[in-house]
Amino acid sequence: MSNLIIETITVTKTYNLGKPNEVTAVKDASLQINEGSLVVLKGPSGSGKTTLLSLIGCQAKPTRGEVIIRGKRISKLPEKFMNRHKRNHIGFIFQHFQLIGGMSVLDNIVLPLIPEGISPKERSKRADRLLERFDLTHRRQFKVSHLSGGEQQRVAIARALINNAGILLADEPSAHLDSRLTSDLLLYINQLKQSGQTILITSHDPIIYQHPAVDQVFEMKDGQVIS
Amino acid sequence: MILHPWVLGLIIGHSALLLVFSLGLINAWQIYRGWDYNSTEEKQFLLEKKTYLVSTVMNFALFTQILMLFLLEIAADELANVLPGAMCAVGTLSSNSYGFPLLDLKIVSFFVYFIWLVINYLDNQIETYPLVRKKYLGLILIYPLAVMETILLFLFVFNLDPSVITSCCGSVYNEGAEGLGGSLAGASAGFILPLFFSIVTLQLLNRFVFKRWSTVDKWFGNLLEFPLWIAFFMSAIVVTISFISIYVYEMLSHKCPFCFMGAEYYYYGVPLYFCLFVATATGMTGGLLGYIRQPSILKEKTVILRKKMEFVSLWGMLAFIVIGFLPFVAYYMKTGRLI
Amino acid sequence: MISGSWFEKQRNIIDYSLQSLLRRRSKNILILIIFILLVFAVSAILFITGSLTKEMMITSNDLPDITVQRILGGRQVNIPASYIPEIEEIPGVEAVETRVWGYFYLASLQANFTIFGMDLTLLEDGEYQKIVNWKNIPDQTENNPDFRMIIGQGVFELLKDIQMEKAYLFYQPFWEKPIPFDIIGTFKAETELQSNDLMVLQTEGARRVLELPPDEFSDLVVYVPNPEEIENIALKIRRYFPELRTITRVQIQNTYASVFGWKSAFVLSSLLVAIFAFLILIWDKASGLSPDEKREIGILKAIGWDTDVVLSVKFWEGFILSGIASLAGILLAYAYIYWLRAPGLREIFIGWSTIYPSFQLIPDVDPKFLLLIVTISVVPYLAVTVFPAWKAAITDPDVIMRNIG
Repeated sequence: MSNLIIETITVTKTYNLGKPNEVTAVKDASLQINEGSLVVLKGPSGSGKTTLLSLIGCQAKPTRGEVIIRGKRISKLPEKFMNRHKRNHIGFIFQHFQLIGGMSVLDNIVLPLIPEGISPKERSKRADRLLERFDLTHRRQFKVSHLSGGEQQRVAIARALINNAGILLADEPSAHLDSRLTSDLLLYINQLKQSGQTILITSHDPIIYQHPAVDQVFEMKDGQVIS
Repeated sequence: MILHPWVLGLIIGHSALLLVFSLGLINAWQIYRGWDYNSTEEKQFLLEKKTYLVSTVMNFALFTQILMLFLLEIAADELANVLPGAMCAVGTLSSNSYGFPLLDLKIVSFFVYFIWLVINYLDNQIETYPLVRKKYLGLILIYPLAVMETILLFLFVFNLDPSVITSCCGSVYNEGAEGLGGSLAGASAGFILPLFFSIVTLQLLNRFVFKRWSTVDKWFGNLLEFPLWIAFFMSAIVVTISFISIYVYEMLSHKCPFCFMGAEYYYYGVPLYFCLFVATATGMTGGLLGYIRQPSILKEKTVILRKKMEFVSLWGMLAFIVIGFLPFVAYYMKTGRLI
Repeated sequence: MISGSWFEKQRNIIDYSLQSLLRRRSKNILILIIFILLVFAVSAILFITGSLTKEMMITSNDLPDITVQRILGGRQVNIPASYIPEIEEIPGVEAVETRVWGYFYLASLQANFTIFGMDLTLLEDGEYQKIVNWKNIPDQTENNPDFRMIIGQGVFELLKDIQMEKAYLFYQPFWEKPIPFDIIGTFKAETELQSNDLMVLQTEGARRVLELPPDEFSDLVVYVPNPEEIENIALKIRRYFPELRTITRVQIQNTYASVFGWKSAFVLSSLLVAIFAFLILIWDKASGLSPDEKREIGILKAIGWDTDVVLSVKFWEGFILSGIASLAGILLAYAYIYWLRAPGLREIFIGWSTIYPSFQLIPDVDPKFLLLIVTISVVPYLAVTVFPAWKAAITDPDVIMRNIG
């Protein structure tokens, strides 16, 4: 059973519109992604894949076009409502993990739950499940800055999953990993796909986009989706 | 006079309020002029972000205004030590013609800020921000209040003259005295108590009876609530001065509405006024919300909010009545008679 | 996601704000210290003013209701006893008493003493006996009961320097001969501030030294039992006798209160400059977000925190910081004034009046003061951080999306 979970309709993002340093990062991009599929956006750096991902991930608003997540047009929504949608449906893994170094692993993972008013006890409970799943229980109280690259990667993934979002977006997840860690990563991604997550990854790494579990590959060049 | 610490406090507080409010005003004006929900330009996004600034500004304004109300009362009380003839806040406030108007304006401002904040909150619940332009227009219209308040404050402070004898509450709130104070005090229990309680009864009727009649609810029940709360507030003040205070001080001639805010009376005035202000503020807002009928998406949220307001205001009113009449009951039980 | 209540949400936010402040300790420490110092200074001034005023009110309750003086040519002169019966007759007046006092300038020591005349037997026999260190007097001086005196510690020290500590000779150049007084005692140390330069002489002797004609007095003192009538009676006295000046206790109290207020305001206003500079510092610091902070907010926005929530965090950070600074400043001021007895500040406030307060400094910590200090400290701080906090909170998640490293 496949239904559309993510759809973009001629989405365009232009920065500094009307100014001399105007740049169009994404132009007329149209995508359709089914629920439960593993999709890769490939292309060289500067092709706009990160920008497109951030548009889908509710991190920015398109200049033109529509982004539809689970049937809801999110492009026109004011920030507050867009955020709500984001919190409920999307988990994001950033290129440089973007964890808060001075905070513990536990605190980093539960960060998305704080504005929801979830009690500390409940937060711990949810986090512990993920800590176990990603073999981080022994690092629970450690400051993130004291962790290895691979461990930080897992914390980032755990954080993206804490809110039980159905959609996982990852921006160049293997960019700072060696081949062993990359294959670990792929293992996790596969697991997640098996459990029903929809996953969208940007990557220029062939190991990723040539992986058998990948359902669809979109290629981007100069801001446009060319396949 | 200006350099008296309490006066300094008032000046600093009000200046902070006006400055921050001015910041909000500039942004409110920009939003009012340029708001276009359907635009995807950077400009619109910036305006959206500015709405947060204005909300913060108004929250700060309300917070500071509440603080200032307390501060004014205390400052007036302290200044009474240096103004001849004045023995409590009333003396200070009546020592020139700006004191009481200042207090009145502050009370009005308090209610206005509160109402604005509730409407702001309501508007922010809806994706399309339906009330945006009305809201910010409202803010632009409220701004002069803050300016006037600051002007009145400076006039009041600069006209404080320790060489001029002023009156104390005994003579201001005296039946024989001229002016508003006298009439307030002179309002006999026989007149004001029935009036007060009929207003309360009308409120309860309105709440539980009129509103249930669906056809009447369409316009009658809603229309009544807002003015009814204003009437409640005013009659409550009169009752406080002419009746409640007598039993707090246990003296027929002492009718000051400020003296019982102090430590000697166990800060009795604080819970009393707290309930009164909260009840009136929520009640008025609830009534006002009843006027909001379109757009229809707003209606649902309005109803929920209204219910909450109504709940709080009802209990506030009851609490006020209980606290207010406690001294009377206590006195009657103790002595078996009226003063 | 099932959400918690509004309260839980606020609790979480406050928690996070606290944590956030602790994480950036070094940046906040400097601001905290300056803030505490400023609050300390303001509070110390307010406390000392409040205590002095309160104490003044208490001690001045012993002052006479109305003091009546005669003015000639704009200066105070002796007042004849003839006024007494007429004043006594004013309804509401309980009693009129007379006072003999004045100043005596000792040129050789360049010292000014206050001379007060009273019947010393009242001190010898009554409850006030214990405030005096009584000296042993040889019998022969019992012949001059009118020429005895009790002096304050400061006077005693001075007279010791000129070897006159047992008996003192009052002398003015135009007198026939000096008037000797036996010093029968000194006031004890605990009365120091009032008695230091005081000489209490037997009334008759005092009259001689002050050259008061018989039937004339330095001033009169009127006792009025009903406080509400004091103003009226003072007014009547002035109406009947335009040459008389009346000073009511309330007037004295008001004057003190107003001068204390003036003094404190003076010191406060010099602080204003420092406060202003501090506020500018805050604005500056808060406006410039470190790349680290920007990144952190970017992360929060990116994982779904609303601008609202980030603003709340910034507000709570400010509130907690200024709250703690205020409390600490107030506590420090309390310790400074009431434990250490205000070294330094004391000198500014004392020593200009003819009635010295004993400077016991009764703690007068009213919740009112706390409200005032909060208004002067927390409110401006929050006001100044409103705009910078907003600027920080609207940081776009984009910031971290396109960031390198």
